[in-house]
Amino acid sequence: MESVLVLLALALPIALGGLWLSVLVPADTLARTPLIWSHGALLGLVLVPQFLWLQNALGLTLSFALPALVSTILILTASVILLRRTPISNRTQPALRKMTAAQKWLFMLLLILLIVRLALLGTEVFLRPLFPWDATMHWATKAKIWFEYRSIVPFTDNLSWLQAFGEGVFTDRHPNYPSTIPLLQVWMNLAAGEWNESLMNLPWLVCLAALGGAFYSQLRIAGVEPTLSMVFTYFLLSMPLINTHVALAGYADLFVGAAYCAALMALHNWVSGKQAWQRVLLILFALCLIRLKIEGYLWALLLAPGLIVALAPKHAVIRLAGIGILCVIGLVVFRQVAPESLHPFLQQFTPLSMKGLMGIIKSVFLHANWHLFAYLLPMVAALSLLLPLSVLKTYRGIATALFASVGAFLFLFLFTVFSLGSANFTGVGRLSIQLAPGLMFLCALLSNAILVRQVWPAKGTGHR
Amino acid sequence: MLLGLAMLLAVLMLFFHPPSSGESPLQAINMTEETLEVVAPSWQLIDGRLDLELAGFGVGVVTLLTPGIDAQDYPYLHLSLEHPPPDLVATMSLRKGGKTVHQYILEDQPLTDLWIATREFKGWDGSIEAITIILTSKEPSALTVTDISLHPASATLQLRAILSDLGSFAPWKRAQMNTHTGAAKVASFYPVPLVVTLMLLSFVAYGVVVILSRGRITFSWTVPAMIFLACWLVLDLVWQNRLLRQVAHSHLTFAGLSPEEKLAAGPDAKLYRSIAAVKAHINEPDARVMVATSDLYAGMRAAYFLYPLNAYWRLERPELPDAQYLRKGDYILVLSPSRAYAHKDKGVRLPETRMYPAEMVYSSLTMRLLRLK
Repeated sequence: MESVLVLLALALPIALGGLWLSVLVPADTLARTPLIWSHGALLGLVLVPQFLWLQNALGLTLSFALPALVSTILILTASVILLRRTPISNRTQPALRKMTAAQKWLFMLLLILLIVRLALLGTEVFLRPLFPWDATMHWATKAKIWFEYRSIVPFTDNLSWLQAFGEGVFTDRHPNYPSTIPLLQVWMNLAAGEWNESLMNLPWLVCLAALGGAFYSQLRIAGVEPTLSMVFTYFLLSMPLINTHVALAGYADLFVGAAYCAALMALHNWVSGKQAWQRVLLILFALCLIRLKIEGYLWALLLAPGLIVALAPKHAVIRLAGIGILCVIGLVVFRQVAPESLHPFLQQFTPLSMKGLMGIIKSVFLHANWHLFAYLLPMVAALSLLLPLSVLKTYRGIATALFASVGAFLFLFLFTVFSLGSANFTGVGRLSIQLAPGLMFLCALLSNAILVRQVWPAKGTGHR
Repeated sequence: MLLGLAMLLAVLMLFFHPPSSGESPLQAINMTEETLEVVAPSWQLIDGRLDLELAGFGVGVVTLLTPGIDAQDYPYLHLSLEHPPPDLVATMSLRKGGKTVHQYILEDQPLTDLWIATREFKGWDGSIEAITIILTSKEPSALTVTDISLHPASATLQLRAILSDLGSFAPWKRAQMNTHTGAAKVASFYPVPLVVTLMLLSFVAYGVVVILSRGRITFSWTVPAMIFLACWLVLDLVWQNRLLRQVAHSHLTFAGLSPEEKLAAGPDAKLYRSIAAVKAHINEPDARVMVATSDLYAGMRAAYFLYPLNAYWRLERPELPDAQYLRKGDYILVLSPSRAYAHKDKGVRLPETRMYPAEMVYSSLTMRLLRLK
C-alpha cells in the first residue's frame, strides 16, 4: 500500500500539470508529448505543495487525502475538456523520419546513456538517507516538524525563538526560506505514512527527468534538429554537479535551475514564435521561482531585461539604462530617507575579491562540475560572432536575461562578502546549478545556428 | 582524435615526465622476505603474494622496507589486493629518519589495482625508509596482497597512474554538494584539463589534415563537434563509472534496511544512535533542547536528529544562550568537543558564564544531557 501511495504521490503532480498543459498547448505543436509531460511535471511538483500550504491556511490538518482529492478533481476536469475536443490523429514527426542512420544511432546511444543515468540516480536516491549539509540545516528541518505536527508550525530565527522561549515556534538556520521544498518532502512522507528520508527525495529524480524533457522539447520548438537537441539534452543531464544534487537530494537548487531554465526557454520561444501558451509558461515558471528559493526572486526579476530587449528592441538600451538610473536614484533617495536600513546591505560590498575570482575559475574550468561546458560556452559565443546580425538578433531576449543573471552571479562572488563562498567552493557551484541549464539552452541555440549555417569558411559540404 | 591522443601522450611524456636522480637503471622494489614486515595474526608470502588474516578488530599492518631510496627515483606505487572486504580502508604512511610521517587514507575503493603517482604525497622527497600500509575492516577477515611495489619512472606507468586515477572511486563526501573536482586526493591530473588538452590537440590534428589534404578534404564544423562530443563522453563515462560504483557501495550499506535502520547505518550512524539514546531520556514531547558543541557539523546534525523535540542549535558562538533565555526544565546537550563544562551535581557553564544549576540526566563518552533546575 505504501508503494502505491508513493507512486501516486509522484504521479498526481505529473498528471495534474501534464493534463492541464495538454489543454493549453495546441495539438500540432512540435515535440508536444515531451513538452507537456515534462513541463507539467515541473509545474505539478511546485503546485501540489501549495495545496498543502492552502490546506494549512484553512486551518486543516495536513493530510495526503485532501490535496490528492483536489488534484484528482482537477485531473478529471482537464480530462473531460480533452475528451470533448475533436481527436487529432497522432502525427509522426517528419524530422525524426528524416534522420540518417548515423543520427538515429547517436540519438539512441545518448538516450540509452540518459536512461541508465536516471536508473542509477534513482537507485541512489531510493537507497540513501538524507546526507547533505544544508538539507538537515534548513530544508528537511521544516519538513520533519511539519510532518510530525501535521501543520506548518512557524520557524523563526535563533533570537526570536529564545525570546519566545520556543513556545509554538521552532528554529533553524534559515527560517524564512520558501516552504515549497519542505512541503514537497512532507507530501511524499504523508503518502509513505512515515518519515522516510529516501522516498521523500524521489521528486528530485522526477525534476531531473522533467528538466531533460522540457529542454529537449523546447529546443525542438526552437527549430533544432532531434539529434542535436538530444546531444545538448545529454550534455545538460550528464553534468556531475547536477547529478550529485539528485543522488544526494535535499537542496532546492536543482528545482530553481529547472524553473529558471523553463522560464528562459518559454521567453525565447514566445518571443520567436508568439504562441500565447509559451507566455503562460513564462509567467508560471517565474512564479515557481519565487516559491522555491530566495534567489528565485532575483532570477525572476532578471527576466525583465530580456523581455524589454526582445519585445521593445527600439531604444531598448535607452530603456534599460533608464531603469538602471532609476534604480540608482532610488537607492540614493532611500539612503537619505532611511540610511540605517540600507547600512547592513551596503556592508556586504567589498573590493574585487581575487580569491573569489580564482574560486570561480577553478570551479568552472578546472573541476569536473560541468564536464566541458565551461569550454563549450566561450567557444560557441566566439563562433556565434560570425553569424549574421539578423540571426543573432533572434537571441537577444534570452541572451540579455542570462547576461543580467550571470552579471549578478559574478557581482555576488567578486564584490560582496559572499566571495568567500567562491573561494572555498561552498556557494559558487550550487548557484551555478541555477544558471547552467539556461546557459546550456542558449549554447544549444547558437551551436545549432553555427552548425546549420557552417559559418566559416563557407557553407561546407563535409568530406568529399 | 587518434592523432590528438598520440600528441597528448607525447605532451605528457615530454612536459610532465617525473624527474629522477639520474642513477639508472633502477629496479622496482617488490614484496620479498627481505623487504616485507607484517603485523597480523597469520600471514604467509608465497611467490610474491601475501596471504593475510586481519586481526580481531580487522587490522593488519604491512610495511615495505625501502632503505636508502631516493624518493624521486620511485614516482609510482602499485597496490593490489585480492578479495578485500567491502569496507576495507587502507591508510598509508611513510617512514623517514626513523619517524613515521604523513599519513594518508587511500580513498579509492576497492583497492584491487591502484597505481599512485607518489609525488602527489606530501613528504615524498629525500630518503624514504619504509612505506607502511594499515588495512582496517570492521570484521576480522582474510585477503591476499598481490602486490605492493615501488617503480621507477616510465611512460607506461605514467599512463597507468592516470588511468588508475580516472577509474578510481571514493564514496560521497559532504563537499561534493558544492563541487566535484573529478580527481582523487593523490591524482596527478584533474581530468577536465587533461581531456581539454586532448580535444584541442585533436582540433589541431584535424586542421593539419585539412590543410595537408590540399582541398581533398574540406573543413566541416561537424568534425570538431564530434570531437567535442567524444571528449565529453570520455569524461562522462569516467563519471558514470564512479556513479555505478557508488550505487554498488550504497546498495551494500543500505539495501533492505528500514528508514530508521538506514540512519543507524549511514555516515552519521554513531551520532544518530547517540541522539536516539539521549531522546529516550526526554519524556516531554515538546521539550526545549539546546545543543552545545564547537563541532559545527555534529551540532547541526544532532539538532536535526533531535527533532521533533524543540531543538536549538546556533551556527555562531556562544554555544549556549544567555541566562535570561533559559528556564527550568530546559535540556542542555553538551556534545564533545565543546567549550561548555558539565558537572553531574552542579550543572553546566561556559568559561565566561556562571554555572547554570542542572541535573545530569544522561551521560556517555561523547555527550552529556542536563536538565536545568
